[in-house]
Amino acid sequence: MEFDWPEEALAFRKEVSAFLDHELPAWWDIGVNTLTAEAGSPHHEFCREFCAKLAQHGYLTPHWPAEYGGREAGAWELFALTEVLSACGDPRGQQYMNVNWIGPAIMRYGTPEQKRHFLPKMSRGEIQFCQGFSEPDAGSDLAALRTTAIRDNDEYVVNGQKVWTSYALTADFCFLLVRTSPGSRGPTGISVLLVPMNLPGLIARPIPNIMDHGFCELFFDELRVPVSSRLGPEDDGWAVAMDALTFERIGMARFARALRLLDELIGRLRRSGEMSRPGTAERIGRAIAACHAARAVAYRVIDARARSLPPGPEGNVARLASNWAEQFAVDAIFELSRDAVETGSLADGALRSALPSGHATGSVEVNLGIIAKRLLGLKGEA
Amino acid sequence: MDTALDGTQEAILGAVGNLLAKHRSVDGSVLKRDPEYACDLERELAEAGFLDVVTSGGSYLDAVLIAELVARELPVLPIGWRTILWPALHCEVWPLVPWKAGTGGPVRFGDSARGVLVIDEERDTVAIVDIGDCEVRSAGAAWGYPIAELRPRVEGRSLAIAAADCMALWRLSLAAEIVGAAGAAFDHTVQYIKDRKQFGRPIGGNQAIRHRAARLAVEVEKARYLTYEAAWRAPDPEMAAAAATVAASMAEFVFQEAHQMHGAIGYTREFPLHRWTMRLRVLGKELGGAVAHGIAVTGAHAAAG
Ligand SMILES: Cc1cc2nc3c(=O)[nH]c(=O)nc-3n(C[C@H](O)[C@H](O)[C@H](O)COP(=O)(O)OP(=O)(O)OC[C@H]3O[C@@H](n4cnc5c(N)ncnc54)[C@H](O)[C@@H]3O)c2cc1C
Repeated sequence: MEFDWPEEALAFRKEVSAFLDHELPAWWDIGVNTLTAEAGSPHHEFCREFCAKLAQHGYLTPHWPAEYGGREAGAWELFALTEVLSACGDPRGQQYMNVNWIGPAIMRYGTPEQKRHFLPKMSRGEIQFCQGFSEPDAGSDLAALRTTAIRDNDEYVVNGQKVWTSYALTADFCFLLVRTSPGSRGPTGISVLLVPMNLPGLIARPIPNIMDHGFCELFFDELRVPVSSRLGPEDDGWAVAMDALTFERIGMARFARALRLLDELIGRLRRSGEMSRPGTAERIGRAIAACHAARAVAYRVIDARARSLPPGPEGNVARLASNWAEQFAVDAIFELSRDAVETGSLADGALRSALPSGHATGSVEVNLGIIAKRLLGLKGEA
Repeated sequence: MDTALDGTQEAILGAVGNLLAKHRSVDGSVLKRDPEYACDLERELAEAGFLDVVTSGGSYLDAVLIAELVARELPVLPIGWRTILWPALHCEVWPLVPWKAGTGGPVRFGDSARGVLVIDEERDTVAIVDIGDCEVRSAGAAWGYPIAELRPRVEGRSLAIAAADCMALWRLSLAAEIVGAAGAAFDHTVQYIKDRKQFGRPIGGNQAIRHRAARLAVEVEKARYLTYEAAWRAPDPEMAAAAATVAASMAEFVFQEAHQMHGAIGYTREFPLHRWTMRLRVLGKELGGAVAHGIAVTGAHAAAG
């Protein structure tokens, strides 16, 4: 056991940090609400252009194989990249999904045409996906999904509804879970479709929310897509989707952003002479400690990935640790900032970005259930 | 980076484990007596070279791994101070108990000590005071360790080590012992909720218990891996204080939940749980507990810029 970062990851971290210091505009400040990415917003336009720039410098898909526009950078370099980008509010916007797991899923399950069609464009940061999984009656119990895709010669006809679809209005394609076997239930009979967002028969409607997050409901009404838009085997898409999500491993490094926000808070409180107020140093220190702990448990996940081991429950541990560290930190920031409830303040952006972390990547309870079963060997209800 | 034990670490821990196993008592009456300083065990561990890994080519991480393993046992000794703090002092006096100037308060193993290590952070001085130059008042052993109140009467002989380094190593040794004792209490709790049946099934089959056990697992893992990382970076003051912060709050949490999940049996003398949980409360409040460690994190973090 040892905890030295590999040289190449340290160098890469330094390089990307310098790039971001230089390239991020002044208005992209630390207080940005990372969830805000509504269509047409300056934030979203910026992320799109910035992804292309990241791609030009090899910072968008460094971990992909060379034939798809990467250089097979190792897991530690990717982790360094994730930390650095997360710390500044992830200027990739929704693109993180594409590069982390949708692209790799297409590499593993795609036809040669699908790979040719999607991967180079994704690697250049030119196209964006959204994730069409959840439905009104299929949340944590995702396998209860009902949206159907019925075969009609060489087309599927899609009917149904998705909900909570993040970034749907700005996406070019949807990674869509549908039921291709009529009357099937649970995880069998499901397939994955890669559906363009601009087809007739698909309506996306934004859902107003307290996070200022661009998530939508999607309505499918006799939407027709060619059978060739299916990713992986018919009726066995559950395995494809679950496998795809394992590429994600840790997702956003929420603890890294929380640490950066805490630094900003310390700077502000020092300038206003409030650092010495009772309880302040304690509260901040405990939040910093929680962030360090979240990073320490994430090392195990990255280590497993670096050794090409299958993902285990340590990923669920890391996710919860990271979510809780961020929550602990933003609660401290909210409580210690005089201007917290002012729209657009540091605490306002921080808290609203952190708000849904207990649900967006599998709820806390779902993660706890997996840890109980797989790490502790406790049998019983999910 | 490698988050698994390497071959040498496995071999060392295996050997330490064998030695510890030899000392495990089958005599249940041990649990009813107050805990004492396990001097024999300490001597054997020292003779086998396990307590001086830091000064014999090993790392602080190796020392932390050993301290964690020993802290899982029922017998108690100042394993963290001995393996992690003491080697950095290059002094002859042992047992030596650390004492933070200006705080006072009861000290583990205070009445067995030959010397007191007085750490003054404000003046940045570290000194050794012979026990004969201290007031010592025994404070019993109800909380898993023999405890004494100490008060040095003289300044003592100064040592050439920075106070901040001493504090970092103290916090690291504290974190390592918490991870050991809490890990043992937690593992016993998981086994208990698998074995104990009520309403016709293991109590660990109920979601209310499963989820709380999983939450505990997250806290234990956080403290454990942060402590390992802090050991690797020792004597980094921010990492050591962070490890102590996370470990101290975890200690309190494990204490509460381990007892809650055990029901009445957990409060009995013949059931060993109390040997770990009572200690967790002492370790959890040493040096001022999570509150004081948290303040130290902010201090070190801000100093590092
Ligand atoms: C900001 C945000 C963005 C999102 N983006 C997307 C997206 O892009 N695409 C997409 O498909 N989905 C998205 N989601 C949806 C997300 O995946 C779901 O919110 C999540 O799966 C939980 O489902 P639910 O909201 O229906 O809650 P429910 O499943 O109804 O759960 C409500 C509560 O009940 C608990 N619960 C449920 N079942 C159990 C059980 N068996 N035991 C104990 N407790 C239980 C849950 O843990 C939770 O606390 C997003 C959600 C958010 C908040």
